[in-house]
This record gives sequence, structure tokens and C-alpha cells, in this order.
Amino acid sequence: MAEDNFTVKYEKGKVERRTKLTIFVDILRVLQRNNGTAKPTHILYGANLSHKRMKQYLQELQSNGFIEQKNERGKTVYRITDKGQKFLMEAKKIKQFSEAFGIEL
Amino acid sequence: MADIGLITIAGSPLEVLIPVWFYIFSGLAYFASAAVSLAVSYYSFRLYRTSKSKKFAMLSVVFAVLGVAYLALTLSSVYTYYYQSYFREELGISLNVFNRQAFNFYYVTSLLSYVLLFVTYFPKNTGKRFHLLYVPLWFSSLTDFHIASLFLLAFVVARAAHNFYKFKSTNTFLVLAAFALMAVFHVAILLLPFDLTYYLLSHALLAAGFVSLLIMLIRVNRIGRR
Repeated sequence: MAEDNFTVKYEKGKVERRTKLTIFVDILRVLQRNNGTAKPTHILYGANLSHKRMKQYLQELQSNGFIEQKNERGKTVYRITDKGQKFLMEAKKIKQFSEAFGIEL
Repeated sequence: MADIGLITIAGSPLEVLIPVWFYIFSGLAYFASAAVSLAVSYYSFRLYRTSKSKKFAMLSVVFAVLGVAYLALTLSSVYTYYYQSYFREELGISLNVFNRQAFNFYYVTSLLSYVLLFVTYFPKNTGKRFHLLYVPLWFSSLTDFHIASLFLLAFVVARAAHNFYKFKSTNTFLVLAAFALMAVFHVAILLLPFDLTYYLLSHALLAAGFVSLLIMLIRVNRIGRR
């Protein structure tokens, strides 16, 4: 499960700041784990974000076409798109490549 | 002596008699190195577009420059082989003039790529003590291209070894092996005046280094296809 270390990096007891790419991956992973769809509350807790930052990132993910907003039984949910799935795959490659060269993102 | 060519060794003031068929071998090694370098450069650029990480952009430039450097050496090897084997007079440009220009281009571009690699691997937030590394670099650059290259690559190998120790994965090992073999290539070239077989050994090591990088690239690119 080495790939799951993408989310939060711990080094000598300190938590490093996540990059935008890492936060995108964390949000998309939450959706993927929930069969592709998740409520904002799940995303908020799953990706460990504040409400303000979550809204900002969800908007960016939507404008990039990685997720889409839907209404299910009167409630807002977010669904990961095919482009989002491909982005997650690309992110795995980025992680492996940067790890191979010892490059910090 | 028809099949023997007097040639200046890449980056060295020494001249050694090398059998002409060696140039096919070195040409292939240089071409493989150039192809893999350009592939790594393209892949880094692709990842830079997704991640917007400056380190990937830097890595892309490093390998693009290195790829162009080895392309120059490929041309030089092919030209030398044909010049010595068949044409001699007909090709028009003197072998020495062509080789000197190709090698000068290689020294500059290759050294530039190593310096960029050195900068890419330079640790962040370490204060000023690491900047002392630029002093021996400056002195080594005044002596010999291979010694300067060796100094730069030794630092990169040390960083790659530290990275391998941290992750202990196959990919980190492949990158460490690639940089280590590139460094040994320069050592073997420096040893060339003692034994001509170092010429073959050095180029075999260089090719092996880039094959190691290629394997890493294939392994990374296979993610998602499994």
C-alpha cells in the first residue's frame, strides 16, 4: 500500500504541507473509495480540509473536468469523471517517478 | 594500420589509437544514451505539465541537454567510422575538425546538464555549508572535463544513494545504478591510456546506465496498465 502514502507525509514527527496536486489526489481518492461518488461532508473529512478550502478545490477540480456535481435525492454529491480517473493514474506515475529520482514535489 | 584511427579521447588532451570498429560500438552506446535521455526528458515534461513541479521541468531540461550531447557524439562516431573505413578524402571535412567541434559541443552540453542535475539535487534549507561544494567544482572544471563530470556525478550518486536508503525500492535502485554507471563511465575514460579495453568497458557501462534508466521508465509507465 505504498501508493497510499501520497496523502500526508510524516518525516521525523512533523507533517509536511500538502501540495495542490496532493490535495487533488486526496479528494479524488475519497470519491474513488466511495464507488466514485461522495457527499461534501465525506470529502471534507476524508481529505482533511476546511470547508472554505474544500469548496475552492472542488471548484478547481470541476473546472478541470476531474469531477462533476450531481443532485441525488435533493442532496449535492460529487462524482469522479473518466478524466479524473486518468488524473489519479497519472498522479501515481508522478509519485513513483519523483520517488525514483528523490525529487520532492 | 588501415583499420586504426588516431583519435582524441572525449574530454581529454590524450590521443589514443583506437580500432575503427570501436566506433560502431561507441556510436551504438551513444545513440542508446541519447534515445533514453530524450525519452526521460519527454516523460519528465509530461509529468511537469500535470504536476507543475519545477523539479520535473528541471529534470526535463537536464535530460534534453544530455540527449543532445550524446547525439553529437553519435554523429561523431558514425562520421569517424565512415571517414576511416571508406571516404577519407571524399567527405570534405577533416576528421579532426569535425571531431573537435562535436566533442567541444559535447563537453559544454554534457557539463551543463550535470551542473543542472547538481542544482536539482542540491538540498533545500541546508544553510550555506553546501555552497562550499562549488569551490572544488570550479577547480575540477579547470583541470579536465571528466574530472569535473565525476565530481558533479559523485554528488548526484550520493543523493541517489541516500534516496535508495530511504525508500529501498527497485526504481530508486535503478536510478542510483544509472547515475553510478554514468560516473564509472568517466572513470573508465580516464583510465583509457593504461589499457585500450577500457574504451569498450566505459561505453558498455554508459549504455548499461541508460538501460537502467529505461527499465525504471518502463516500470513507472506500466502503472495503471496492470
